[in-house]
Amino acid sequence: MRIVSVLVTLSGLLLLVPQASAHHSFAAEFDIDKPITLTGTLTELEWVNPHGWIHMDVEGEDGRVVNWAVEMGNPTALLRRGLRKSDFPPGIDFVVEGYSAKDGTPTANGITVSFPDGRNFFAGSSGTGAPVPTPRQ
Amino acid sequence: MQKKIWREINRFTAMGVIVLVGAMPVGLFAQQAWEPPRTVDGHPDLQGYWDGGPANASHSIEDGCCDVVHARMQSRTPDRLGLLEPLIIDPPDGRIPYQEWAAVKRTQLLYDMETPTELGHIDPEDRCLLLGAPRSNYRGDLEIRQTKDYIVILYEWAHAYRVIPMDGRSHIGETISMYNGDSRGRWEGNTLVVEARNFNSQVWLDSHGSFYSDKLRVVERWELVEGDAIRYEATIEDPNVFTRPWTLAFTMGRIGGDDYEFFEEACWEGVTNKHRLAAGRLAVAAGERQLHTHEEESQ
Amino acid sequence: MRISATLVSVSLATSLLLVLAVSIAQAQAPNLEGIWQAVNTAAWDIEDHSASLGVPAGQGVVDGGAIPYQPWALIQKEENFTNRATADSLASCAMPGVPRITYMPHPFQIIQFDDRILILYEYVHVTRTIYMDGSDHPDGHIDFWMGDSRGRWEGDTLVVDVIHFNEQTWFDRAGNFHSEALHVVERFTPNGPNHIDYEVTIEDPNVFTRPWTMRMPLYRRQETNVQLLEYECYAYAEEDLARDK
Repeated sequence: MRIVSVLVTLSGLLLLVPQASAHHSFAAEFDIDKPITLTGTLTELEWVNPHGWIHMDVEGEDGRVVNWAVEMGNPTALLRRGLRKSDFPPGIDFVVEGYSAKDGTPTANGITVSFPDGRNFFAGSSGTGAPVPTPRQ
Repeated sequence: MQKKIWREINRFTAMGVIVLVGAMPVGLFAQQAWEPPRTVDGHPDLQGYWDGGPANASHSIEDGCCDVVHARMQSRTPDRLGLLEPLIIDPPDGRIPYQEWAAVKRTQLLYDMETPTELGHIDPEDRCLLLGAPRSNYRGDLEIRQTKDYIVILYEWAHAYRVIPMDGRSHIGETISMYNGDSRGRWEGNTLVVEARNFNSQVWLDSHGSFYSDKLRVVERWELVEGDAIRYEATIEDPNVFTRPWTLAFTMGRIGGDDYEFFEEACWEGVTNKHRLAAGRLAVAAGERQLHTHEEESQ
Repeated sequence: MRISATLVSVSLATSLLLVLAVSIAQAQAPNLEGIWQAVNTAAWDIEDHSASLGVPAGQGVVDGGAIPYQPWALIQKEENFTNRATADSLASCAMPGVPRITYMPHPFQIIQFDDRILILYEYVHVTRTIYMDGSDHPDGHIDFWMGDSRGRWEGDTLVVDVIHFNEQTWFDRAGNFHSEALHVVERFTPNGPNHIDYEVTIEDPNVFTRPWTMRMPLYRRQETNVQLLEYECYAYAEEDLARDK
């Protein structure tokens, strides 16, 4: 798997809404010493509260594909901005930067989620990066 | 005939004047103290959406947020750390006045939450349990609706709600305990006073393991203040756990425009504590225990 | 002096009459406030059913008797029934959806305003806001457990239009189900001071051959100082009921 041991960039906190994330005990679940970058394909987007889950197929250096579960932020914030689950159909390629889970499973806490060209995955609806050109009034 | 008509008109006039004078805020004549907008029942109108007070309070009502790892993972700048102003106004040192045994237990929870091995080590908020009072009010946005007989507080998080009867009825029996307790309200002048009891002992006042017993009693004061805000105060009492009653207070501002609505936040649908418990059990088995602290040195 | 007194009198009278007229119009909507509960076995099975261990026999609440399933859906319903102990999302304490929340064996409270009606349910603290301000449903599709409710008065009847459902809720424990395309229209009509006639029309072109209707009375809880308590479902068996992940 393409793990790049780089420090996470400080951009794009659109996954995490400050008020909602004050509760989360990150240290108990995710490892700050195991930052991770995952490049892969969306298989499923769980649009659930209190935080959603992105499931993605990631191809490792050995060619094996592992399905990762990435914890994302509160979907109500996305709903309020006009985004819908249908804006993110399976098959989209994207990049996640975050921290691996401490329990050894292919699980991560997603800090930024972006398209390969760097555009933010969750930014806006019409015209600014949603891959499905379904018009919405 | 004319006299009769005039009598009728004068009667209407008198009624109209009484209605208008009754409806006019006193301030129009006094031009002095600010007067809150009122409902048709004549009480201050607390209705609308409010921002649930200071960010970070739900993490710790004494220290705000966060521990070092949490802050680094979220890339928090200094302005997003701690508490902007103290939440606990009494005692003056801003610390929860735990009895000695309770302080020990709370410290134990501050260890356990870093390596949780059972659900009781995990912040009730992460278990989507109802957070009771006062925590529900500083955990996130809330909505207040009021009629003559009831005040209802709705919380977007976990679709929680509290119903506060205003008709002077007694509390329910002592042996029924609930996460959000049992509330009774009354007006004292312009202040809504709510007394809550019948809490269970399952939840914490914040993420720092600030627990209480089922003898908890909370007296809240909600007052609309100038600047479209509510001044909220809660006096907390639990003879099993605290050395004395203590008080926290903060201001919540109005949020949302005309079209603002809450969305459904199902909460329980997404609870996934199994990873945390698995990690905790691995850590404890490996002899790794650490204190949850916001101090830099421990990292 | 006399003329200005006349003007003042007339304008005050007019304002008073206007206020009266508006309050009368608003007062014409019935008051549905109070604590209500359904008394039937619909939560177990909305169709006619015999008793089994722990399940009372019941006469169905579906107009015409049988739910008009498409052929594939009837097979799915049978499979649901067989697996109901685990396949029912209610078994893991998920929210029951609409209209199942109405006929759960727990009370609910209606609190009414001009621009919204709140329905607060004891069962797992479900809350619904029925927006009465003429607003549209938000753009969709959104997966809500309890849908999005927009209401209006038709004479004495509160009509509530509900869409934006996920496909995980059932109508009962017997496996009667729907898809995300579910569209529910509820009608609440007072029938005397202590009863509401509750009528629900179900539409889902993915699953049924036509729209169909359930109906049942709702009863006002009569006990003095009755109030909602809590039924926190998942809190009572948390680790068992949690998701796999």
